[in-house]
Amino acid sequence: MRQAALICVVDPDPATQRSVGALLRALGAEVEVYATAREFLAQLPSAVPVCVVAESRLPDMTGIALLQELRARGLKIPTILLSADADVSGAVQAMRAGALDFIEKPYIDRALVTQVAPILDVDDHRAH
Amino acid sequence: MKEKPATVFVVDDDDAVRTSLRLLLKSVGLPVETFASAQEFLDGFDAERAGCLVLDIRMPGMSGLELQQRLNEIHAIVPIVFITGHGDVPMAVEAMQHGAVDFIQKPFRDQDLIDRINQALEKDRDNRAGLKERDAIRRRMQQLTPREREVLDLVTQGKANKVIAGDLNVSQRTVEIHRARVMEKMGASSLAHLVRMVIEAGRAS
Amino acid sequence: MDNNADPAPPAAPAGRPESELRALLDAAVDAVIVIDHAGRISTFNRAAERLFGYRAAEIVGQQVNVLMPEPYRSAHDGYVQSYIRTGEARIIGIGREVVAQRRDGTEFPASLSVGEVSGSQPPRFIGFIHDITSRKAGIDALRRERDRAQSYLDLAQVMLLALDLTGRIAMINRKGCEIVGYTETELLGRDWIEWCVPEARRDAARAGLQSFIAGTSAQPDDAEATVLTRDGASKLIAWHATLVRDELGNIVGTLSSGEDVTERRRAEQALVHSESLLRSAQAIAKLGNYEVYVPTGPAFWSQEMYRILGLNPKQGPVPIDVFTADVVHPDDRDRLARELQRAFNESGRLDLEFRIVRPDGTSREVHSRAQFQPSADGESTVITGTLHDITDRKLAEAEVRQGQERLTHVGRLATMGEMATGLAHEINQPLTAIATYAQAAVRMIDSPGGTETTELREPLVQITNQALRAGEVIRRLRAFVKNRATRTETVDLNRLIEDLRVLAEPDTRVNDVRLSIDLTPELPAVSADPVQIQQVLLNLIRNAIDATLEAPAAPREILVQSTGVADGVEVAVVDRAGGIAPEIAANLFNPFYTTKAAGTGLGLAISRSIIRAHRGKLGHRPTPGGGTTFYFTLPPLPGA
Repeated sequence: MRQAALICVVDPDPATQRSVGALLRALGAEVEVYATAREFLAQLPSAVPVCVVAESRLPDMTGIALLQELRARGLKIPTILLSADADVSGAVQAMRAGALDFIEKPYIDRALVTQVAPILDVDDHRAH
Repeated sequence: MKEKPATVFVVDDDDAVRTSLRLLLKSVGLPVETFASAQEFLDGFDAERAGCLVLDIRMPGMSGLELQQRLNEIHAIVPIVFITGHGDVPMAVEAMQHGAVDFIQKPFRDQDLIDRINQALEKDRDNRAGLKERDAIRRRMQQLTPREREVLDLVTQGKANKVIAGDLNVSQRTVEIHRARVMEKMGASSLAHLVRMVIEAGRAS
Repeated sequence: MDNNADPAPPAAPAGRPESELRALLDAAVDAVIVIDHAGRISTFNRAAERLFGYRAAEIVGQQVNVLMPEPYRSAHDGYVQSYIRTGEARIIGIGREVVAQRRDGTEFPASLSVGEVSGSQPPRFIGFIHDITSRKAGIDALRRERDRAQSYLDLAQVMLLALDLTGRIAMINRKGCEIVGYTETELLGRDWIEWCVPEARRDAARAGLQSFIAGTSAQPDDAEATVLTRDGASKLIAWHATLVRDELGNIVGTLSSGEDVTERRRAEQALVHSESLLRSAQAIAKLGNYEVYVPTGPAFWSQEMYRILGLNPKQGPVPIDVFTADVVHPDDRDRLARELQRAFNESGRLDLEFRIVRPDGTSREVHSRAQFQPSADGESTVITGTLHDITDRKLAEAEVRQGQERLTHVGRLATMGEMATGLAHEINQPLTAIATYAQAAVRMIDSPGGTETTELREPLVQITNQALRAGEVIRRLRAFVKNRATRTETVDLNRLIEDLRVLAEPDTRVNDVRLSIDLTPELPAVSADPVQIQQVLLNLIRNAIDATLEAPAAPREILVQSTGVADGVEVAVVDRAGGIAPEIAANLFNPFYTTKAAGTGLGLAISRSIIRAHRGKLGHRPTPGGGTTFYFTLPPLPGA
């Protein structure tokens, strides 16, 4: 029996934690939620997720910095950044840093499913 | 035949923007060619020519993003720096996901644009070098005999000579001879090198 | 006549000598006639001879009915026969008034008493006849008198009612009967209050009657009291009552005259009601009316006139010259005076809006309409008119106008919002060129070996051009989105369309639609608010772009053209897109109706109200060969 794939959500906003968590669980993922990048990074050695969904403006570092930290640790985990106050240059920076996607809140569900479903290897129509 | 120098291809429907960019890029010594529309660029497109594309997003007729898509469809590797007067986040993300080097908003600092253009030109050089390397590897692989090709596949799967001998039902000595010949024909300095070349050759061009 | 009756021989009276009886009969004052059972006269005394003009000798033996005129004459035999046969007397023992006939044929009233001569067989009858001519005349006179009085009472159309002390009806005239719906016979002797006073008022009416009779009140009942008619209806009667006394001065009853005022009161109430309605209506409408005789004569102002003008009704209407001089707003006095003069001399009508100033200093906008006609005596002019306080309406109109202007502005902003992408692009392009030229120039200056200043000329010229280009867009944009009051000026529509190109073209360009303009030269000028007309035009162009984008197969071109038409100048925006579905066409001009995801639905509604305010029309028709043409017309300048 295949174990559920782990996706980590890093976002201090409880509403986002709940909604994104619920969405990803609906896609069949196991979800762990962290409010800060530090908590998430501290947890990393025990379980490496198949995907990270992170707010681009975390309390302790930017989403781009988190992305760079993962790369520095040699972890090419697909990372999706979310942003409530996105601008074009921020989005471009994130993409240049290697983000899988950069999604504007609150219109995240459709885009998230589009990106995450292939990673989870599920039929993404199910969640539509 | 001497190759043309890497050229900056500017595609923008606005006359003033095009002309000013030509002046700017010439002032830093970059060869420039300008096009008033995406279609005009596509019509004269030569995949062999080195360079990069400075591309406006919103234009009458074919948009910048559409041109990017068309180029991807024909596996053109020319790196693209988008310049746009009114890009939004999804548009920028899409351009980046489809391989753009950057997505710059108008008006821009000249140095930012020049830096990006240089990055793009460097990427183009790398791409072209990689492409050349891949072509070379493929050419070498084509020189292998069917048996040598079989041995190459099994070696790069990490199988020991003895196992390969069993698989192919030949002596271990024969495997060793084939393997040496494969290493020689491919110009591989080590097994790791050989594996990298096979992976490289397997990549889509 | 009974022909079968046997003639009977005259018989001598028994018991008394004939001569004595004869003398007795002849001495009698009344005529005495004896007849037999067949109606033949057997005795005819001297008084009878005198009365009828016959001598006894010639009448005895004749039928008694010769003494009667027809039709009594023929009827008489029947009476006698009938009596003999049945024993039922019509006249025996009763006596009655009859008409008799003398020998000379003249007739006279007479009283007749008839008796049967006892013991005679066959029966004989004796009649006593008395000439009552003189008595009868007196009675007839009395009766005539009474009838005349009655007819006076009846003619008076007043109910007359006499009650005795217990309230029973002693007399009621015809009108009274008519009012209460009973016959006189039904009413006489009845208790008036029981019969004709509504139950709820009976106790009060009885007490009133008693106190009237007792002399403690001047009236038995209310001056106007309701009576109950036979069919249950109520009638309002105005009563006057007096006490009736006998010769000794004792009160024996009451006599009342009552007038049916039901209709009159109803009419009066209706009048009062309609007057109060009129007053309320005037107050609600703030509409006063007046009638003034000029130069002299009565003047009438309705209540509302005073209210509108803030004047005291007790002081009466203000003379027209004082009105013009004091009540009218100083700025409007000349105008009103002129109009009044014109009405007096020529038109006979006034229809003018002006301002008045109330004593408290507040001013009101009023509208007066009046007709001027010569008075009946030709001495003066009668001005009949209305004064309407239109201050509130004016305020409301101003608010509507301001609201309309705000809405129009919002519409412009919305249109701009839809065009923002194109406009941002339009401003950003020159800015990009400027920055790039300038940076190129700096690099040229910094380049090793330097640069000839003449080489910098081109970038600097370009920078200037591009700065002006951006500035122009911004200037037009500002003019367009500025919140402004409607301002009308003389407009060359061709020029306006050309000017609009700067705003419209970016939008078409970024949407990859070709905008072409086809102007008819030398069109008449129009009077218009140029910004509002541009707004309409931009809106139509925007719609045309959207329609074109929705029809991917359609030619991507929009044509703006101006043409002279019969009623002015027409500006048309022609697209080649899919046309308008009928169900959409029906709602096209409805506010908030939109087929666009991001539309407000206000564009066309506002555009139409703008064009209407310009006395033009906005419409659409199919483009020949497919698509839709929206057009508006504006009337030419007067005199142009």
